[in-house]
Amino acid sequence: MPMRERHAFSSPRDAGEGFILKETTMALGYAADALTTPEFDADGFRRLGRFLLRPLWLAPVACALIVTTLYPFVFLVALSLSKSSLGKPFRAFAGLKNYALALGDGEFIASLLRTVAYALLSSAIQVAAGLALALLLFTLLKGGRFLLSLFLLPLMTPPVMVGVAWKLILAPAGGLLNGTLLRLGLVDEPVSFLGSAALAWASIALADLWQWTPFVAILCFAALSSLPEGVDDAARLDGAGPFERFWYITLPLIAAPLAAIFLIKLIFAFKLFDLTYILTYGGPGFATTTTGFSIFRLSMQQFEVARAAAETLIFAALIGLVTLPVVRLHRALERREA
Amino acid sequence: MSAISLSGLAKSYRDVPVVKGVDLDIAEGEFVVLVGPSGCGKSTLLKMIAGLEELSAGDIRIAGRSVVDLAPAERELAMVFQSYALYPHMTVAGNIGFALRIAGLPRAEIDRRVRAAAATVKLEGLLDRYPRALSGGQRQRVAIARALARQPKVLLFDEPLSNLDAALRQETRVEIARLHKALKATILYVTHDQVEAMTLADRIVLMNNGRIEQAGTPLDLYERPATLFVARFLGTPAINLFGAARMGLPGAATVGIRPEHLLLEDATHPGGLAARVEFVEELGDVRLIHLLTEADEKIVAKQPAGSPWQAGQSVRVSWRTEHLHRFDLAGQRLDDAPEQRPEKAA
Amino acid sequence: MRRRFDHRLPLAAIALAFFALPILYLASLSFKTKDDVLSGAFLPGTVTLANWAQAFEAAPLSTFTVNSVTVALLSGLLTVLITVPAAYAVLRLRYGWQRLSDVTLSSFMAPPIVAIIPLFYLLKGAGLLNTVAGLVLVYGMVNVPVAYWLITPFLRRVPVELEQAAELDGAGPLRRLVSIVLPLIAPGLAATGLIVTILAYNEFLFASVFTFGNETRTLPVGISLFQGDRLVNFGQMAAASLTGIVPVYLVALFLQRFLVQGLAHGGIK
Ligand SMILES: Nc1ncnc2c1ncn2[C@@H]1O[C@H](COP(=O)(O)OP(=O)(O)O)[C@@H](O)[C@H]1O
Ligand SMILES: [Mg+2]
Repeated sequence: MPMRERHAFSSPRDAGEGFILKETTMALGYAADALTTPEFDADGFRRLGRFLLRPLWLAPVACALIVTTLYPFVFLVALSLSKSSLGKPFRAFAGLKNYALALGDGEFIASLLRTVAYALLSSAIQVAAGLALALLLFTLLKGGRFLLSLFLLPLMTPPVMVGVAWKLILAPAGGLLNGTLLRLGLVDEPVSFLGSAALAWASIALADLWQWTPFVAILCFAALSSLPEGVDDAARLDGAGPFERFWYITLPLIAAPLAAIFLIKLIFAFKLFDLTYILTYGGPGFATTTTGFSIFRLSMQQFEVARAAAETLIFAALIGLVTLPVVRLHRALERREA
Repeated sequence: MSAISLSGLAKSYRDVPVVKGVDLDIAEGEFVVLVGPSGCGKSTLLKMIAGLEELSAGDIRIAGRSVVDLAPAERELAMVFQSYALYPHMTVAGNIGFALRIAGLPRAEIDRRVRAAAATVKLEGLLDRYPRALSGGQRQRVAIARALARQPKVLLFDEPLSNLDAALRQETRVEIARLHKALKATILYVTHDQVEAMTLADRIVLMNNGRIEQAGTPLDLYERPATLFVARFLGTPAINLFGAARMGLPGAATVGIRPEHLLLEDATHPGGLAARVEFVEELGDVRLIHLLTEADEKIVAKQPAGSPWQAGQSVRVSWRTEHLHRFDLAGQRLDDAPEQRPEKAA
Repeated sequence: MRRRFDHRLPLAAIALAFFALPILYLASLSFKTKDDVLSGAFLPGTVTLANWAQAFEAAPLSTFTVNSVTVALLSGLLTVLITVPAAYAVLRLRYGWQRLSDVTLSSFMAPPIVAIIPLFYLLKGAGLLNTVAGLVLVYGMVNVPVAYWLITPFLRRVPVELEQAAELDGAGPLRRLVSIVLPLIAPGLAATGLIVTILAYNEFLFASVFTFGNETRTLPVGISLFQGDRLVNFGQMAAASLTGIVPVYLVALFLQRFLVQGLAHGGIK
């Protein structure tokens, strides 16, 4: 009796190469076993059936990935090489014209720089803030765990509603912040927080920080919980103060998860859309227009889908370029630990 | 002046008392073993002394000076943790030298002291390794070396051997005893293992449920346990206990007698309790005879190798009165009448 | 005995206040009168329920809510059904391509804007534009990488011995998944399902492009339209926003144990 199913647990990780060959041989093996047994071999057929059903386990995910990732990329490449509008795509071949248009557009290039700068900066700030919050809650022990679950709420709030809440707080007339500043006599007339480039970015960053810092804190809390037992006590006995314990013990030990957290946050930062849509709609002028937002307007409002496709691909490439060093850093830190 | 002096030490987590008033003096150079069942508050007491846990009440003096307001590092003591708590991202040398680095010692001095500490526990070849590349026994020694490098007045150990296998435990136990002799350090050593306690201690402090049950030399505790708890905790196999009324000993509630003090005789012999041999454990040097009395009490007698008892045999069990331990209803030792203690009378 | 003041408590209180503030302010605004809003004060001077009534009149908030909840629940279910068997097959049965994990995760890196034009044409071709079903399908597939990421650590932690024992008892792969693995990873499954459901509930970009009638719009889209109105009424906006927030908060409060667990275990190892 063949016992190939047993190998399901013990077989080494498939490296990818030679995979198809191996699978084919196995399928032939099952078929041969089932067919060459003199009497009817129900077990053999069941095993063969199970083997042939294997692709079904993965098919749904494969389908989802094709629809949401592979197909869009292929489609975008084709679209970016065409002359198209939203209503009538693929009217003619346009060569690289759309890319030339995109790269020649100062406003697009500016939006790329803004997006990257904002993603890196806001992620760094939020990881720092989230780590601080996690450390605070972590040292509060039992109470900290309870508070941690309260901090879930910002994360769960729909970003559109986060935008609305902050827009109302920041509003020049009747906003909470301006009302408070006026009452305290810190300003003489209402500040238009969303009316100047710097303040508008600060406002977006604030709302963004409000929404995401708790998430970062939860991940940092988990990283802190995985620190080896007693090490912090040992360092205290060794005379390390709070700052030294953080710097020499805690930080090196959570460096790898921290890099992973930064990476996750960076990916989310590149997805920023709802907050700018509600808070500033890209303004004043184009001051807070991120690349995502500019692509959205180009395609859905100006119907220039071909150029939008080119811009999207350029944007995707840039994201890869920016995140790659962080991925590398994370890998290096993990390897140092292993 | 004592090296460590604890008075009225107490600790509660929220409202749950864990350490309930501990008074103890440890002399300079003394090796004190704190022993007790798991969860009785030993680690908590140790951490309070180290300054890692705040006190709820009481005072701690080290070399005569109250240290309750001092940070852990200012108390001039070092601790070896049960989990070793080695810094996983530092080499052996980095681990041993960390405290010295924090203290801002010059590099050459750190290097010298790290080497010296490593040499004491035979770690010389491993200074550049990371903890994950060490065996359990080696990690253990790094933890000890890290404590030694600070040249502390007092060394605290929290169950340092509990993560080692039996052979290594024995070996390291001897090593620690040797270290104590060589360094003449004051040591407070926590364990739940009575063999460690008996072999290492100048003095054993037996804790139960947040309180000290008895403190004294190992022989003191073994031969004159102050409470039923102490009598039961020390000794393998455990002490045999009988209801005192049955034994015809008025005044006491419980009577105990250690397995090695039971005398076995043929069933034909007059006097003593009738019992039957259930089974025999051969340990090579001794034989443990498991007996069942007429009243269905299970008792164990320790007999020399070569003694004749076999399973199924009927025997009579007797003892000498000076070997009896008598306890009242509250489990307190009833002091022996003078005539029962000839050795003191003599 | 010294008792030093614990400086961490006020810090924690400040953090808590900061994170509670916007929601509390929304709540306060929703009960303020029109004139009271302009005061910029935190608490309402006089309390009115008018905003709530008006918000529900001004927009079909109940339709939006029904749409949002339907889309969220169905797509959440779809995501879990797609992801869990595959993750199990790859991680535990070692079926198929081991790199699937990496590929799935890297597809998560691309911002949703990448998929918006292609998916627009796909939905249009399938006649699913401006339908609840279309949104369910899109969310169900788009959230697969997140679900994969969340469920992975839970799957890895199931002791191999349990499955081996079941295999020796004659259980096939599907039975092992259903009777052994799923009960063991139930908390992880709950967390994963909850999080992808909430993600779908909160989503705005796809919904704003793939729906364009009140009968299909979800809450985030509906509320984003509120502020396009000529007369922006703070009180009504606050009431409408709270309407959208309350369902998630209820879920989060009752099931927070799973949420923290799921997020905290999520692949940062
Ligand atoms: N941080 C804590 N919070 C509440 N109870 C604790 C804490 N640490 C220890 N305890 C309790 O205190 C008791 C004594 O613990 P410990 O000193 O570690 O015991 P031992 O070291 O003797 O085994 C135990 O019952 C334990 O559950
Ligand atoms: Mg302990």
